[in-house]
Amino acid sequence: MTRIPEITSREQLPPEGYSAFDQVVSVYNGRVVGPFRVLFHSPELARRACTIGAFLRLDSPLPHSVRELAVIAVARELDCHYEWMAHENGARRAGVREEAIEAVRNGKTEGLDQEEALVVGFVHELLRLNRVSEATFHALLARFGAQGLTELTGTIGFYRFFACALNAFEVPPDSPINLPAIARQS
Amino acid sequence: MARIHLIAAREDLPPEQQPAFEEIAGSRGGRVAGPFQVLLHSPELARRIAHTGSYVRFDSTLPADVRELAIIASARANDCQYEWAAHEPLARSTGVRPEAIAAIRDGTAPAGLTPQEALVVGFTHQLLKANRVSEATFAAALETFGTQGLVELAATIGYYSMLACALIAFDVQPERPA
Repeated sequence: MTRIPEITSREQLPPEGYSAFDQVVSVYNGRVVGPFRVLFHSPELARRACTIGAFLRLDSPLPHSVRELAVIAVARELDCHYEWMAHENGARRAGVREEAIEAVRNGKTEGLDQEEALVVGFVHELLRLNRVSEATFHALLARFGAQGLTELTGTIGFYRFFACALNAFEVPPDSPINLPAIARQS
Repeated sequence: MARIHLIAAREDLPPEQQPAFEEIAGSRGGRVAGPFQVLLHSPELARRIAHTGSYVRFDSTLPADVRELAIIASARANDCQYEWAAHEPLARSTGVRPEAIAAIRDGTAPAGLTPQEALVVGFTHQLLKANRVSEATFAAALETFGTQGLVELAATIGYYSMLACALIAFDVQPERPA
């Protein structure tokens, strides 16, 4: 159960929030996705944050499979059940290998190919260790370039932002997920 | 120093991308700070993040001292030196007690904090370190800040944790010692 009332229709907002609601919902083909069910309690904030996600999903030249792999790795790292639910199939559709999804789900690196390990390792270093090794950074820069790496970092940061809202307010996934608890060491 | 070229002047960008630089500078007193100096390698992404940040920083309904307390607590939890150096002075100038700043910096909090400070710092710490917030902390925070205020508090923590990703990944150093 979400810890505050979810906002899923524009009539729950004062009239000055309607345009923000409509704008956000149009980006998601008419749906109110989880983070916005709570973020709409601050409509202008929701509207602005949505533009970041729209850029990353619709305009960034980063390959979709890389983006979606990073998103499920963030969801795993932050134990964000909603985000995992929302992106597991997205990762599959974007072409992320089943073996890679399983490895991320279980917090393991075995089974990842070199590029997958690079992206997942970056997420782990960034979110868990708060530092990124020289080796990881330079491999990423060589692979994705300055703009690509900026957008990969922005993707990790943005889904971390979403996870803060989802985790703080305990927005549940819309359908059951399999994301086992894992023990972590920094 | 950082791991890539910092875009600190509008001439670092081709003319068609300079409006993003100018918009960010214009929203922040003419200054383009560290996170945006790296994010501008993707100018449209930088512009949209800065626009969101303008709300968090300048338009949020949270009291300024609560906001800055949450920011330095986030910087501490994320070990983000740049963010700490940039916001410690703002925490002071918005009225966060020096004792609270020291307790967060030294990791001795919640010892030495008032109940409200401990609430904000505890909420931030739990969210970033445990990925969840206890019932007791959540209920007290909702009571203190209200629904919109608490959404904006969580968003403030999330926003500065997003910036921390860029600052840490590209190893952007503080402009003064942290």
